[in-house]
Amino acid sequence: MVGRDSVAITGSAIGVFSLFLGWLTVKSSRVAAGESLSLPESYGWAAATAIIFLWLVCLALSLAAGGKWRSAGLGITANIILFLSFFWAGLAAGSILETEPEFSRVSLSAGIWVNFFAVYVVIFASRQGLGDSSLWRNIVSWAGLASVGGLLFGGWLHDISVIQEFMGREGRFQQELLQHIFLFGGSVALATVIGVPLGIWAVKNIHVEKPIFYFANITQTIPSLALFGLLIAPLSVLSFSFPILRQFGVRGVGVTPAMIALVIYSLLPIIRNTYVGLRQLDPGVIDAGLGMGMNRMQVFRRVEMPLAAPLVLEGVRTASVQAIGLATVAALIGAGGLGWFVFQGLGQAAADLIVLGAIPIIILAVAIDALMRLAVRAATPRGL
Amino acid sequence: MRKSITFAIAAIVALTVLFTGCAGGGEPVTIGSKIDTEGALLSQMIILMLTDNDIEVVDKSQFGPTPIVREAIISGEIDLYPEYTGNGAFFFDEADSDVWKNARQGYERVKQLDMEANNIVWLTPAPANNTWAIAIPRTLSEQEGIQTLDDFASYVNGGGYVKLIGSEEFVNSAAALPAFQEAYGFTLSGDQLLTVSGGNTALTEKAAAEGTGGVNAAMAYGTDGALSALGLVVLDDPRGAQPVYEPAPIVRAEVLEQYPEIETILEPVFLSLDKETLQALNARIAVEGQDAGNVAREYLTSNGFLE
Repeated sequence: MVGRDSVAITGSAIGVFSLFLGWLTVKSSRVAAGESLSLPESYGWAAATAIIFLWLVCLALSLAAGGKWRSAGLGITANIILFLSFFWAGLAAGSILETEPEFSRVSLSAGIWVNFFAVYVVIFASRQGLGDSSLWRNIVSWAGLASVGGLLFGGWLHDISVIQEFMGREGRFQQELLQHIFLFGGSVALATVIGVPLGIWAVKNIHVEKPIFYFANITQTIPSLALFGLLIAPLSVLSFSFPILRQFGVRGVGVTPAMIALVIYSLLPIIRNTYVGLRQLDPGVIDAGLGMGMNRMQVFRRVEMPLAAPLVLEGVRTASVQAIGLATVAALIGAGGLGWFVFQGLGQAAADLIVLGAIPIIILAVAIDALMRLAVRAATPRGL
Repeated sequence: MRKSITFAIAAIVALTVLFTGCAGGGEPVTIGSKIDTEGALLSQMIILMLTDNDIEVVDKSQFGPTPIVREAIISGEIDLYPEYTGNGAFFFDEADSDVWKNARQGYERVKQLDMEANNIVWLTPAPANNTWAIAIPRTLSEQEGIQTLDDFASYVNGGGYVKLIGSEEFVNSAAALPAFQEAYGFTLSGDQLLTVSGGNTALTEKAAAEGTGGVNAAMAYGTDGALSALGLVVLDDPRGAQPVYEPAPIVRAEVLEQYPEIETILEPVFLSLDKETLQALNARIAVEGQDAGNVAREYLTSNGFLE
């Protein structure tokens, strides 16, 4: 009870803190230095007062005692804040741009991002207080985000700089998004096909356990850019010695080295979890299987693997989230992906172009994480 | 049973070879570029021009930094990309040679070396020198009457305040700042320099424009688009201290044999791109945030290269 309240109080305090930061930044061009506007300067006093008032409501609610209704109130207020902060951002950006010279940009500033974070801390606290009611929990978690999505797809936010970076790059964005999914999905799938048998082998054969883990651990310590770079030379030598390989797309740059590097990074969590999943099984369960007349293979397939499956999937989940982040660097060796926007933005010192690449990477990681958690739950046998 | 498996494998191998190896005739041309503004602009121009002349292209523009794009064309991952003549000095380890300071000689030298070593053909370059340069705020330039590096040297030697931001490479490599200092007779001490890692001129130019940390001079490239938007001017290099970096389309000889017309399609376009034109076009992408493809198309259309 005490722990729960302190989360809500922390969230509300961060929310109140965000009110003192700059909310929008106005720049004379996309690379120029910006002028930061406070909340009232950005949205006008009426809108600013409403947001300040709503945060004070949140703070009061998180300090107050009470059960489900208090939590529901908190969750709803936080969602309203989330919606309004973006609704007015779109409105304000439009009216600011009307008076500024051509090519001016309006960017979202620290205040609005901290506000976003605070809203989700409060929502997290509110969810904990809502108990088992999955309908309410879902409403509280997703309503605000869905309404912001509505603003985004409805074109309400098109005067904000990140969206202006997106417009005119729609085709490339779609291409690089798919490429990013292909890079991490393909490499994690390959790593699963290689890693699970290696994990099983390590359990069954004590002699290979050490070398397998030695390799998997060592590779994790190589910085990602270095590993991508290290693969270029041997692969290009290989593709020149055996030209037939080049016909199949094996080259020193592009997708091949990126895939190999990502597979290597993804191996450790998968091997380790397969190993732990099988090792932690109660020997009694295996004895019971053997006692029922199963042979070793049947015990492995019908008893050991199903019981270890949730942990194996947990390893795949860790590997996926890690690979989504690492695939960003692949843009530097010609493999594309969302990192393409990040590095281009860095090259032009255009912060909003970096954000355009970074936000989908974060969303992708959160979404895959949630999906894999569902898969883990589905794979967990009842009674565990 | 075994026979039919052998047959199946043979069939698969035969089909694969047929489809991948001997595609022959109208193979598309893969266009790459470096991951920067000018790379985006030039590659889009090339793509538009080739497409307009019924050559099928694959767009792999903004492929990666220089070493990666270089590796890509050598290994055949890409067929054509814009490269700078002066970079021949580094590709072929001839940085000490003087030929790179002359536009014509540098071009001829790199053309010959790249053909011999990698079977890559250098087509006609644009008469625009995108070399290392020093840029200062326009206000400083007007106050102190600094237009050339000679003016800059006498300003520095006269005790004027200067703090120059540049990459490690710019500050230390013999071809860059040391070459300027030797040619114009000035020396910047440690506290007159701010060294950053990475050769990102967007960052150094921004610092000089905003006076971050007292910086009032920046490493720049001659055709950078952001210069005028940031209120910076590039100092002229009348003594030719720097290698000449003219952008030229370079293409694998095999591909050029298949499409010899590429040479004559691209030549007039590149000849039309002088320094001021490139600066202005780069600015529309880097500063105004316009799409490189649209900027390229507009330029090509208004100059009569495209219908």
